Amino acid sequence: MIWVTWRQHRLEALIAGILLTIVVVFLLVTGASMISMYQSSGLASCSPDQAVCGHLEGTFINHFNVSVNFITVMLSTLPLLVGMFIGAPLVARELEQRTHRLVWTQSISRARWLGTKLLLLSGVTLVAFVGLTFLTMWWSSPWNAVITPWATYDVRGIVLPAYALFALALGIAAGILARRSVAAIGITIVLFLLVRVAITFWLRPYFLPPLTFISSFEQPGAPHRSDWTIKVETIDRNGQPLSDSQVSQICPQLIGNGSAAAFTAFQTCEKNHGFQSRSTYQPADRFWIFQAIESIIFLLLSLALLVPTTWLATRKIT
Amino acid sequence: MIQALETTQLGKRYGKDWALRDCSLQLPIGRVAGLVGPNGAGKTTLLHLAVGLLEPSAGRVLVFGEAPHSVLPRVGFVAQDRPLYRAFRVMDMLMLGQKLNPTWDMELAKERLAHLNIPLNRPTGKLSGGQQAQVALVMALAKRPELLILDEPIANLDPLARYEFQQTLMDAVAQDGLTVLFSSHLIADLDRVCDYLIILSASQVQLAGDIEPLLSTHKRLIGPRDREASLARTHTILQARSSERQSNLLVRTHGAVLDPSWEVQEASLEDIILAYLALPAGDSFSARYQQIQEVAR
Repeated sequence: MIWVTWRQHRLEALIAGILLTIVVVFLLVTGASMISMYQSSGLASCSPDQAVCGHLEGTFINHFNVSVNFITVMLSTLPLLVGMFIGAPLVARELEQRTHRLVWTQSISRARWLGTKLLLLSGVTLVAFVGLTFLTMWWSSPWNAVITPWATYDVRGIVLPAYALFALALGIAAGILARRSVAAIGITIVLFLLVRVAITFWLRPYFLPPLTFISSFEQPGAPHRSDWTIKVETIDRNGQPLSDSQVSQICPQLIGNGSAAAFTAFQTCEKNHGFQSRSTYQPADRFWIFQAIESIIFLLLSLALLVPTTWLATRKIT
Repeated sequence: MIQALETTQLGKRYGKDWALRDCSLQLPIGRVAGLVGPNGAGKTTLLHLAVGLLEPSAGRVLVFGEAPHSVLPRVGFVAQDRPLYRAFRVMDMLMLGQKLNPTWDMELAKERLAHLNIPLNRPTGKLSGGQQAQVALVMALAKRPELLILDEPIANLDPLARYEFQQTLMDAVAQDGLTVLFSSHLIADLDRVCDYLIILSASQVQLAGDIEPLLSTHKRLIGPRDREASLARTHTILQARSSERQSNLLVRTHGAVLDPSWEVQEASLEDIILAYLALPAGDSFSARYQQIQEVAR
């Protein structure tokens, strides 16, 4: 069965190998250049209160912004490719070409056929993405130091392999239900993006109750850069949040005028009304708890997809 | 006695529709059986139940006295349209067979394919339809099965490929004495190969038995029309084509036809099968059998 799996997936393995190599080369090149600039420019030894550091950071960010964004998109897409091209056709292509009737009437049981394939493919996926995640941990370290560790949350740590396993499971499940590769690929793309977006934007900020910090406008303090600031809003004396338009209605000094005098007038106005700034944030030390929670969610989703559909495949499909 | 295949009131239902219903039949070990019936009669359903691709909705199916999925190593199966992995070379298919079957006979597989001049390094998708059918059959034979089940194995093949396929099949039967069950909607396929016949129509078994006694108990009778009624008292008229005075009957005989006014001819297997397939659909065969007798009277 191992040989059969290899023989059926060697083309995908080759393409995956090429893609991975490209990604790895890209990571090594940009990573080395980020680290060297981080060290040589003096950013590494900067303390936040030095004025020159702000300038250095700006230069650093401008310099690497495009390549970091590009790599982030690439790394977020890789799990989807696993689901589309390995997961979705796994059962669907057999059904399309009727070869399931050939392979399921040899001497081994359907459960063993599917089980071996699942184990091997998820094993290889896991190894590849764990390797990748170790590399992105190294690659992202200067970027995390300059921006925030949360900036590269999606492409490092344990969530990256979890996304890949989820995509694989989603693809397989879609293939079993849709029975056609192309339809299964479509379903995989839509659902994968939907689930990723939903969890990233609606669930992740509230994995644990966020902390808040209220500061007056003169001395902004916490959250620290290494915390994840979810939102910053202006509140009135009673703690009620105000929209931007409400604020500018009450304190119109800034409208159409960006001068320093206008800004001072605006601050005075806010102070007189007792307005304060409230930050909602997740502290830095929750990073790995969040990674664990999110990984568990994706692994449970994978199981919830695989258990009923593999049962269907081993018992009901002819 | 253990049968190669035995079904007892076997049924398979999809939603409200029965693809196969109340199917009871026995296929003794050592027979080469043809399973015939019109399209949609349930042939494929029966074969899929026999190889464990389907689970029965009613009744049971036994292969060598056991549940189908537990005897898969002893059963060779070629599915409809003879599926193969099209990107695999022929040799890859044989490797797949070897990896997935403990009883695989690689010598036999290579020998048969060499005999058929099928190159081992060609992708199966680039073989002709006839060659693909041969590869599929060799895959099933190299498993060294005791029961070989083939679903419409020679449909859509040209006459030469059809002939060669049957030749490979008959060689294997002669050498190994394996039991064969193959379905076909072409009755002409059966004459050369089969010694046992199962007729399936409207999702029910119409007939299951050896071909030889079938030929000897079915006769074509030609004689005066006014003697039909008295003939029907002892024999069963399956089909009647009558002019004003003369009748041309296909009859299931019960003993010799004694009335000398009837001219007795051999009936061809095709005639017999067509007569059974033309019986009105609905209730079970035995009930219909009665009905025919009533009508004849």
